Amino acid sequence: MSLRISVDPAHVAESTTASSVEGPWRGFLRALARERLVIAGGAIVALVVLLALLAPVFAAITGHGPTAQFRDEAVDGFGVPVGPSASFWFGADGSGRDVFIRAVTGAQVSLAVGVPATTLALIVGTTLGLIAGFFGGRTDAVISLIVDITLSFPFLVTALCLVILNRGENGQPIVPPVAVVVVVIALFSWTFFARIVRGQVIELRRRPFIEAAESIGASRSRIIFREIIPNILPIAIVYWGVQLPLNIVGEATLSFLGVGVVAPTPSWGNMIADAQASALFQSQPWMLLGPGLFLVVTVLGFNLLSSGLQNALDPARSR
Amino acid sequence: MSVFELEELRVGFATGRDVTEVVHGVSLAVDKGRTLAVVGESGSGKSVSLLAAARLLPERARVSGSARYAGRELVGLPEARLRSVRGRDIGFVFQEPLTSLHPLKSIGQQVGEAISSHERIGSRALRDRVVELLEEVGIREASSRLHEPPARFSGGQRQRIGIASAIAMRPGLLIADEPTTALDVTVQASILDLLRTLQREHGTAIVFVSHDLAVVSDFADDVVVMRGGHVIEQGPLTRVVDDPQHPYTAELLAAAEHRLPVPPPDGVISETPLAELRGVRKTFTARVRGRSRARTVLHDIDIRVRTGEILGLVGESGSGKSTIGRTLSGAIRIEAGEVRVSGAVVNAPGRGRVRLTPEQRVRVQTIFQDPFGSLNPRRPIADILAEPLRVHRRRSERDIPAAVADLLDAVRLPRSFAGRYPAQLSGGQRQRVAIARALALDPALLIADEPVSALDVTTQRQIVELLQDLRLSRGISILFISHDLGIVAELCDRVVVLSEGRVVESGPTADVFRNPAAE
Repeated sequence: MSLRISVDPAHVAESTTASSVEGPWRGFLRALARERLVIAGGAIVALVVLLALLAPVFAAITGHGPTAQFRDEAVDGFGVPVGPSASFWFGADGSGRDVFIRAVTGAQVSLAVGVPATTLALIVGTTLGLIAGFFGGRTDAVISLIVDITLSFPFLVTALCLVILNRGENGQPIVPPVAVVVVVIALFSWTFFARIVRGQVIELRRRPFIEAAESIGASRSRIIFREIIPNILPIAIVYWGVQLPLNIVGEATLSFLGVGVVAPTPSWGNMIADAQASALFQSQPWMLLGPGLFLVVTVLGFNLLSSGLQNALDPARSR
Repeated sequence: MSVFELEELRVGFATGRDVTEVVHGVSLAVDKGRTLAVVGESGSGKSVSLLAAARLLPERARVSGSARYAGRELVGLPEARLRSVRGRDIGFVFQEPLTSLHPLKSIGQQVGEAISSHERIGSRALRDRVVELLEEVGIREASSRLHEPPARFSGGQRQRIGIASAIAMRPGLLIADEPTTALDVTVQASILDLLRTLQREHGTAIVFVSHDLAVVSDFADDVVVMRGGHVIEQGPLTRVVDDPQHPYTAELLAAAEHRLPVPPPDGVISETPLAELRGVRKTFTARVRGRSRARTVLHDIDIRVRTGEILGLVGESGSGKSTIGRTLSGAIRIEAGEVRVSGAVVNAPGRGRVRLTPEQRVRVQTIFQDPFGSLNPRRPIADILAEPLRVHRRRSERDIPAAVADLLDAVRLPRSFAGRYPAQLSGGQRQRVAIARALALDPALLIADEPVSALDVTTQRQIVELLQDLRLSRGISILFISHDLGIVAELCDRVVVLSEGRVVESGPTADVFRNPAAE
């Protein structure tokens, strides 16, 4: 006895699987929106970015520019600056400059250095990692060697050397110092992207859909752009989010040591250095707390955000 | 009292705050000395229910209901007590002997662990017990092979070693989760024999999970049919097979039986060879620890595929079937002989990758085995199907959507699938997309490399019918590579049997299967 079933089992299977799974991008965004770390981190980052963008507005409100000095108002006879007040929200520093205004301007600097540096690192690292992983063999060996050599350079000493090299005949920098800082930081962070992407590409390369694309006759560049890159993009983006706070701290460190952003342009790093060198923070703690807090909160926000991104990318947690 | 029973067992998986239930109140029981088969398609919940009873599921699993061994409740049992139940009372045999054995530990160590983790035993006595167990499961010269790692054994032997570990403590129950699915047909039979013998000698109850009713029908006393997390039907095997109560059971049974091959009408097959392999040899060189090791996978192969025919290529895993497919598609270069398609040489000894002209590429297309891996997860179906058309500039951009719709029609998928992503399709649907992609360029020869092995019985049937229709409607030839003799017998006009890289037999399907010169 043969029974004809009116419902095509393929469609039945479809109804049990289809509605519960979304396309990869939608699914990723949905997982992001649900992740508490993303919401918390995102909120903090948004706040910092907002403050950075509003820096000129704050400057206009208080009437204090980031590099303007108000010695008469803000510094007393002994050289001790005032604490937080109605006009100086975080007080002043040893030169009579408004700490709050400098701190939010410093946010601009951190982002203006951190974001381009990390993006540059992403582009360079992903490209090299992709080439190494896809072509393998000698190309891979050469690129991996370059990665290893880059990693063996010590960060601070190399940064120092590059900054010193950037001095022209009359002592003026050849290239704008900010550009040097961006390049230095990118130089030391591209290797992470290269390693991650290389690993991913090597794994992807073995998958049947790549062999299928080859059997159709797709050229290698087509395979790279249309098959491989869409698969490594999410990871690359997530690692951008992981690397950015590290690079912000990197810039702050360089500035702290005097080889990053130099006075009078405020950077959290050089503001902390000022406070520490003059020891004035003992009387006016907000000289140190201002930039310090901003740095901690910003890095915390980005770290939360990137942890959340990593969780969202993890298939075991997402649905 | 049954040795093992589940009562209203529910299993769900938690993601964040939601819990998705996948097993909805399953009840079954098995008695001492009897075999219960749990059958159903993948996703039916058969493995999950049994793993849940022994708490072998990941952290996020939520189990409720009752699972009892010899009357003792397992759900909610403290971990320490449960650990002694696992191994001592319940033994597990898993599907993939390759992954369920530790690749770096010797078999003596692994089987020994199964004993020493439950009782204190001196090393001498342990060694003797291990040797005894290995011999019982059919590993010859066990005492001299104790220190060898699993890699040195064949798939069937590895499964036997797994069984040895499972029965080491003489458990009252053996749960075997698809133990023969990853093995070749000939080896399957011997493993089932082994299980039967062990049951007879020790009175072990066996719960056997499978998606293959054919395997089960030889072996089980009772059957439970599952689908979508529910028990659809259960009862003694003979009753369920002869008088299925539920339409789904009837469908599974129908799909499991293999029909007689229907010869194609005259004129479909022409004698002119479409593709030929002559004297083909393929060697793979691997660099192991600085030294090159050459493995000759194909020796002096002569095969002809006629226009319009479906040629079956069978053999055990490792016999070189897929390699032949890949020499035809130009994925790998041969070391000797030549490969011709439509008279032109497409593959011959030389250096570097095989270079094919676009026309040559188009003539031979491949359907891969793994429906989950052969589609790019990040591209929508429409893009995947349009890709061959775009690469070869067969259509203008404007005509692509229509072409994609035609392809979906050809493989009987709804046109709305064009906007979906592979993850939203089932295994069978993905395989159809893979077939559609292979058809996009109107090839003359389709190389189907184990296209249905990863699919369930009912889905297999649909794909086989689809291929038969495509051959008739488009006149394409198909090289059907498989280790499943049943499907090959039904689908193919002629069969070539491969063993260890050599053609040992070839001819019309009926002849080869009726009078096998070799096994």
